[in-house]
Amino acid sequence: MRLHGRVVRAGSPVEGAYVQLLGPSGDFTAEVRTDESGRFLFYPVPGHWRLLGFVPGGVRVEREVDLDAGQSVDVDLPVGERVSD
Amino acid sequence: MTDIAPNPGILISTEEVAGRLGDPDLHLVEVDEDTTAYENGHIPGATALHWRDELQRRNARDVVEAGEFARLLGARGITENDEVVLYGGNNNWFAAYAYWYLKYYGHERVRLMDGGRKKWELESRPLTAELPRPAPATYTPKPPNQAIRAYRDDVVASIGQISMVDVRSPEEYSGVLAAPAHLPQEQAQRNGHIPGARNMPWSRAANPDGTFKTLDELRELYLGQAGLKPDEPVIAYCRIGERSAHTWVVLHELLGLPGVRNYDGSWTEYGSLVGVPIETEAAS
Repeated sequence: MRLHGRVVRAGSPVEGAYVQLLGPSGDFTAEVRTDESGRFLFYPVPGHWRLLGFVPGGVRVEREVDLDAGQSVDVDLPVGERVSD
Repeated sequence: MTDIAPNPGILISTEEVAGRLGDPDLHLVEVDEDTTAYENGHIPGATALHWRDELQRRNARDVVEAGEFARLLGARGITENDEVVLYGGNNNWFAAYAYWYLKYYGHERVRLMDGGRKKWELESRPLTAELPRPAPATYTPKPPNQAIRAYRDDVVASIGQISMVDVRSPEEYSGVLAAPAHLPQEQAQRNGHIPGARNMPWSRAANPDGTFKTLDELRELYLGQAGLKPDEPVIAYCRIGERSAHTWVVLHELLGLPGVRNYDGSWTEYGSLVGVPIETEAAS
């Protein structure tokens, strides 16, 4: 099971953003730095998760995702927007 | 009641480090989980320690012996009397591990850059790929300080006897996950936690930017919510001993609780032991 995606600004990838994955408990579960394509990747389990992105300059982006068993999800984190699935 | 001796002076801000770049008395050392991060760009003048290839023995799962530790630091131009500032990614997990490691070998003047690499990057501070060339130095380590390290036999004998803090996420503590969710999920033979261990995720001690919370907030978390007693022994553990080193820094160094040990074998060791008890239910 994978939860992956990109941090984007005006459609372009953001390298060097930090993306945190907060678990169903609300606690920090993991954090990665986006690569040159703006991509991040996690290996969570089914449940309700929250992604928090931190971008240089103090910008923060947030998205909530529900994952079902066996599902792999690809999501964008657009800088400047808060998105809920 | 044991007097506790808080020591916020072990932290140095990114701003202060930025103001001291080029200071020959400041030995910056980066320690990361992502060991390519340093090669791609690091704080000017910083050397690096590879947490696995250099800080772990090759033919045994253990810290390196004192002679090898001395060689590693000496090669970076560091003596036992120098000021060392550690920083790294993942909210300073591995930098905290290196901090605990230096304390294990008796290094006194060591500090953590608060917020680590993430804060430095998000503040758009300078990074370079240029490798420093420190003049080699002679490092003389002290004997290992076993009072800050717990081994598996200590842990097994301590079940139900002394406080243990599992600093992993609630999902790892309950056994739903085997590792942080940015890692593939194949680790110890069993998931769960040591019976009686309380779950106090390391992350509750940190702000979103990776800095440590205030001493008052940390006291409330650990002495209040977690119910730890300053005059009692505590063992902290996680998966491989780096997040629990972060909590060890909070408890032993920032809050000054003297009886705190880091179990660096942690869950990858305990969860693979034959015949030891394991709990899997979530914290109440």
